[in-house]
Amino acid sequence: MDKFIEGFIKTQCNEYSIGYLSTISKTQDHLNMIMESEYIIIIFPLYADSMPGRVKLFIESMRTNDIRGKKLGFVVQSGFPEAHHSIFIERYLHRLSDRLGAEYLGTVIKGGVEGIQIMPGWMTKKLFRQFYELGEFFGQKGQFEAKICEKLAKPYKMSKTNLSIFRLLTKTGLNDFYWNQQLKKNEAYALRFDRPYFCEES
Amino acid sequence: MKTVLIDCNPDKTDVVSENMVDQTEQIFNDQGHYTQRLIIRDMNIHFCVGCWDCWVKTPGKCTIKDEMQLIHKAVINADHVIFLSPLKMGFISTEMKKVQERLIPLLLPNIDIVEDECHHKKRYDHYPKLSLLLLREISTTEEDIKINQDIFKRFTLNFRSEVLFSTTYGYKYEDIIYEACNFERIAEKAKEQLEAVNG
Repeated sequence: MDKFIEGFIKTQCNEYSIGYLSTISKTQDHLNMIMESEYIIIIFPLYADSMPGRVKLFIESMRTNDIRGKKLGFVVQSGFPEAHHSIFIERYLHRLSDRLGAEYLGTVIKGGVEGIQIMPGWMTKKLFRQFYELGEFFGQKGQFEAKICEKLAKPYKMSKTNLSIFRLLTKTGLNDFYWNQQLKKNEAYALRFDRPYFCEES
Repeated sequence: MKTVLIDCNPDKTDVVSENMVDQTEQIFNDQGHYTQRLIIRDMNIHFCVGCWDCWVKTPGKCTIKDEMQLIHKAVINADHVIFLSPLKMGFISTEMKKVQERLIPLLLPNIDIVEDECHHKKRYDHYPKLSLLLLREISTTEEDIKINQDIFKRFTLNFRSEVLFSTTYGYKYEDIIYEACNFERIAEKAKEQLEAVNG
């Protein structure tokens, strides 16, 4: 989102503030921040097919009076590559905006961002550029640009060709490389298939 | 058959919710199930922090020091798990969300293709069937219910399981539960009858 902000503040007079919902003790500060803002964007990773529990806790603290008439948008990112995983929570986010009396700006969906921090620059260049442009457009118009959103959401589902390639990679074990590398680094590779919670007697 | 009931209502004074949990437990006891009730509000359960330790440092085991391992053990060794939750702002409670996301150690980090989509591989041979019983808010609409049911179905797919029932507490809700739980028994009986008719 740093790139989004870079693009957003390119328009003079645009101001922003960031609240981290992971800090539950600051919920009131975050609500105050919302009350003082015209546009609100809530960003979260997809956890177990919806918003993380901490985000849900914050949503439960929101009241219609805090947000009525304001503009509310969301950015949802997932580790799985397909946008399809996130479209179900998008329906809820739209309903939530209506319930709060806010103007729904839409939900930006981006899949395949697992391990983005460790990706080399050439792999993230295009994505960062798209987020910069998304922020720039938002800074000018107060909307998520539809064509950029469409590009970010690709692939919606894996194509048959990609599925075949993926299945082939699965057989060779190549797509397990990242996880195996991490397990080896932590001297946990031999334990990778452990079932610590299984009880024989049950 | 072992059925685990996970009570995800944060409010212990909610009488309707208590009735819902009691009645549901009774239904399963009457059917001869062994039931176990877990009340999340009485347990020390933290939020998932997305550290992935359970995948890359202590495979299959969460490193957060709280009572979640009681839930991990109960869930993975059950035949059926029912989440009972009130709707809060049109969605399952924070308590239920918290439990759902802490279940990831029960899966492997590696990716598998399921129904032409990416999902996590199974860590265990057997996963319990999952059910959802929701308590409506005053403002709840049918669309709210449908959204929650669809997301629960997605969660179940990701958990490499299947939905046994997902419904709301209310008039004749028990019928839906009986029907779902006896589906296999009814199907078996119908097959037997068909075979008898066909000689």
